[in-house]
Amino acid sequence: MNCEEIKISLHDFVDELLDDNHKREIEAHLKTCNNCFAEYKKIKKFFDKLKNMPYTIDAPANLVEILSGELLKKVVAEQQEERTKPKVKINKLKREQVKQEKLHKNSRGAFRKSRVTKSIFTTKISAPIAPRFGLDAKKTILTLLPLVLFAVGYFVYDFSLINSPWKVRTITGNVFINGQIRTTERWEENESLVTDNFSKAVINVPKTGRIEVDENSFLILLKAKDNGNRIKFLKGSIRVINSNLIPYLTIEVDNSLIYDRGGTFQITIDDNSYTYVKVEYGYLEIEQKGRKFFIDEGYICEVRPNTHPGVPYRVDAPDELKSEIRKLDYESGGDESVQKIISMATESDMLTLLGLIPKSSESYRSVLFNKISAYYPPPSGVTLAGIVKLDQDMLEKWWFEIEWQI
Amino acid sequence: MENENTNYVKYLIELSQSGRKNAFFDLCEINLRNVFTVAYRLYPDYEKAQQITLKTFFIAWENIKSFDSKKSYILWLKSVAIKAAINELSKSGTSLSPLNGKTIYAHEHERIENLIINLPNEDRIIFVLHDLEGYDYDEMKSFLEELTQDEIKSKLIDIRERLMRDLSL
Repeated sequence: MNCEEIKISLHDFVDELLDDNHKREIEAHLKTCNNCFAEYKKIKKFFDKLKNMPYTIDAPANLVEILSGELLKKVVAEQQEERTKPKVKINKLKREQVKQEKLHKNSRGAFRKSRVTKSIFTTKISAPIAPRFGLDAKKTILTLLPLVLFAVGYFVYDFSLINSPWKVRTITGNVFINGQIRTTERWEENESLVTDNFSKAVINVPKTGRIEVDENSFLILLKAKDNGNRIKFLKGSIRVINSNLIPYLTIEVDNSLIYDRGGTFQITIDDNSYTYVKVEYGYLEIEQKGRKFFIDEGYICEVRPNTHPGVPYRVDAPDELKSEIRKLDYESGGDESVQKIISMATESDMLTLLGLIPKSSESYRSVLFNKISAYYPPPSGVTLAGIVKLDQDMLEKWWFEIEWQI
Repeated sequence: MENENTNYVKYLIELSQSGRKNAFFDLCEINLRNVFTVAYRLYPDYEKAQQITLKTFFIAWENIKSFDSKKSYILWLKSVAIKAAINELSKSGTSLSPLNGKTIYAHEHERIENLIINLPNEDRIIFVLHDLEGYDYDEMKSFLEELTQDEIKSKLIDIRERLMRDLSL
C-alpha cells in the first residue's frame, strides 16, 4: 500500500471497518511513515473532539406538555368522529340488516308462496307412521355429540389454567407456609403464608407478575388459576408489580375486593385493621357490595373495617384535604365536609371529587358535576341526571375521560 | 436492530399499546432529548426541530400498537425523526441559510456544533447519521436512497476533511 491508499483507508481504520490483515498492514505503515502517522493523529484528534460534544441537546421544557395537549385535541377529534360514525355499530347494523332482509324475504311474498306450493304438491297424505326409535337415537347422539365434545374440551382447557403451586422466594429471614418453613418454597391453594419481624418474600404470580411481601404479613392463597388468581390479605404490607398486560389477580381485604388492572400498587393493613391502598403506577379497581370504583396512579384509598371504602385522594394532596376526606368518610362529616372538600379541591383533585359524588347528597352531586365539568367536560353520553342518579356506567366513563388527561 | 429497551421502557410500551396515554407521555419524556437532538442536528432550526419532534411522537402514538417491543424503541423513534427531518429538508431546498454567525465560543464543542449545522443539507445528514448517531453505511442507505454506499462513504471522507480543515487540525 502506498501513502495515498493508506490515507483513504485511514478513515476505515478509525471506523473499525477493516479486517485484521488490513489493519496490521496500516499499523505497520504508520510506524514507518511520519506523514501518514501525522494524518492518522489528525483524524484521531478530530474524533476526540467529536467525542467531547454533548450527546444530546436540551429540548424545550414544555415540549411534552405541548405534545399531550395536541394529542388530547387529536384524540378528542377522533372520538367525535367515532361518535358520529360508530364503526362497530354500523357493521353490526349491516349484518342485522342482511339477516333481517333474508328472513323477511323468505317469510313473505313469492318465496313463501313457492315453498308453500311445493309442500302441497310434494306431501303425500298417508296413515300415521309409527315412531322409528333407531333413527331417533342416532339423531339424538348426533345432536348431543358436539355438546359432549365441547364439555370435554372445556374441562381440559379449564384444567390447563390451574397454576398451583406458586413459587415463593425468601428475601430475608424465614417465611412460614402453612405454619412451616419449607425448603421447596411453593405455595399451594388454601395455604397461608406468614412473614415475621425479620422476614420478607417475593411471590411469583404466574402470567401476572409478582407480590413483594414485607415483614409481619399474613396471606392465604384462595385460588391459583390463570383466569382467576385470588388471595386473601389479612395483615402487613404487600406490593404488587405487574409484568403482564392483562393481569388476573384479585385480593380480598376485609369486606372489599381489589382487582389488579395492571401497574404497581401497595396495600398495607395496620394494627387497627385499617387498609391503605396506594397506586404507584397504572390503576386498580375496588368492589364492595356490588359497587365498584377505580383508583388511579398517585392516589390512596383508605378502607376501614365494616365501612365503605373511603374517597381516593392524591398522595401529595394537602393535609387539610386528606383530613376533611377522613372526616367525611369516618366521622359523619356530612354536607359540611363535602362543601369544604369542594372548596379546597384543585384541578388535580377532580378524580377525588368524582369519587365523592356517591357519598354526597343529591343537591351536592349537582354542585360536584358543575365543578368537575368546568375542568373536564363530561364525555358524550354522560349527563347531569345520570350522575345525580349515580349511574355506574356514566361515572366510569367520566372517570376514564379525566384519568388520561389529568 | 439491537434491543436497548429497559424493563421499564418495555412495560411502558405494553401499557401504551393498550391505550394508556399517560404511559406513552412517560415514554416521550424518556426519549425527548434524544429525538429532539437528532431532529435539531438534521434540521438546525429550533422551531422546526420542535415540530419534527412532535410529528415523530404523533407517528409513534399512531403506530405504537404494531410496534414490536423486541426491537429498540429509541432506534425506531429516531428512524421516524430522521425520515421526518429529511422530508422537511427536501421541502426547504438545497441548503438552509447559514445559522449563528458567532466567531467566539465558550466551548470548542459549540464551534464544532456550529460548523456541523452550517454544512449543506446532504452533507450534514451524512455526517450526523454516521459520525454522531453511529449508523453504518447500510443503515444510512435506507434514509438516503438516491446515494450508493460508496458515494456516501466518499462524501463522508470529504466532509470530515473539510471540518478538520475548518478546525485547523
